[in-house]
Amino acid sequence: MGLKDFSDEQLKEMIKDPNKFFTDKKNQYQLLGLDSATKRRMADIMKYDLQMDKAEIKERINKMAGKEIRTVVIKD
Amino acid sequence: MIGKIDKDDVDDIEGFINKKQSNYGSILSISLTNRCPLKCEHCFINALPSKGDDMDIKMVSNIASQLKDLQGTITDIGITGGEPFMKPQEIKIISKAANRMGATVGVVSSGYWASSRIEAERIINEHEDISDYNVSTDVYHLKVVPLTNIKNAYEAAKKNGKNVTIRFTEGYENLEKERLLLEEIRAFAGKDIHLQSLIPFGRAEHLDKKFPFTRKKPPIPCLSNGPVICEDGTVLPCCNALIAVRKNHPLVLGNVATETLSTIYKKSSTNTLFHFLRLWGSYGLYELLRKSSLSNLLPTKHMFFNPCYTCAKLFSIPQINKYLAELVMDFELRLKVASGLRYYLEESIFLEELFQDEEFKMRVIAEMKGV
Repeated sequence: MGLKDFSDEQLKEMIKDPNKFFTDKKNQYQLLGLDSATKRRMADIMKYDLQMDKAEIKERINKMAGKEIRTVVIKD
Repeated sequence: MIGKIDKDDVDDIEGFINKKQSNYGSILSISLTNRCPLKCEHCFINALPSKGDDMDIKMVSNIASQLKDLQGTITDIGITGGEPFMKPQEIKIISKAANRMGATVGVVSSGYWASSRIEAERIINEHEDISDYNVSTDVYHLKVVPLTNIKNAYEAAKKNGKNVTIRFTEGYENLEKERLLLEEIRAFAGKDIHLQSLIPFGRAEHLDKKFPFTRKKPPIPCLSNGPVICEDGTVLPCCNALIAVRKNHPLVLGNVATETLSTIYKKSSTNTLFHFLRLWGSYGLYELLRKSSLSNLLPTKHMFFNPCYTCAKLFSIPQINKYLAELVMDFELRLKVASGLRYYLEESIFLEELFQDEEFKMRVIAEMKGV
């Protein structure tokens, strides 16, 4: 995956209107590779490897992002 | 096992992250000093009472006068340190200017100044332009600032209509003490408590023997929502552990001593490495470096849900900084980051800038087979 994989026609389209060109999912994946869609991979890791549910993922991310939390969880 | 991923769930998590990453730059943090009257054992920037630097008052005034140029972009100013209340005059200069441009002003402090309720009210009344108080306490701060100070600061600020959050750093060695302390805080602060993890950096690096390091790299992208101006004028993309790292690394966005804040903001929108981290995090950067000749230098311990720790560790290594400073000039990497920004975060400035550059366009044309 990379620039070398684009056809001349695609490269022309890219130069003509890069914003439009890279809004196309297919073009984006052709440049970056599916594996580089790290946000999807992040979700996969959390759900499959760590077996976390959505609420826990959000709580962890919130905490890391410095968002105020309004519920204090006291550890037992 | 959780089983099959629900597409809506995944999309929701992505949307959740995207929302957090939108409006980068809306919060500007300003560190007025890296000194602090305390010497907490968990301080990741190694702040000390006497040793350290203060932001020059001329620089403070210069920043204050430039804030209006970013009206509409900056919505919140965070005043931090060290201990910012060691520089009360400078706080007033920044907060007044921020208020004039309609930005909210918050301050992060240990509350060391709130030795009595009367004193706390006096300080808060003196700083009428501050609307948000973030007061830090935890089992480490408690050794040097009594909880009565925190209560004084909280109640005085509340009485004067301010927003107050108690910032509590969680470690792993004193769980029972932390539980009891949190109960005491909750008795007066209710839900106005923000929990954050200890970062094993600086003085805290060897503090917590039970710290649950993992070999798993953090799968989260950089979630910074704005840069920080350090006391020497250096501008960094975030005010997390990276500020503790020596500043000669490729994530430095500029310096207000030599450039305007608007210029630095504009430059930051095309910083390849920083936006790489926003897209793929220190996880992605680690993977990229793992394929290089520097793989033997990479850190092996991580905080799983804190990409900031891994990021700061990576940028602490001079050889990696040198390698990355060269890598960011790579034509295809710049295109990948710019297109990723367009696709994932709907930010098009970087991509537009690239394709306005004739030399860059010629490089793309050179890829054509028929040329």
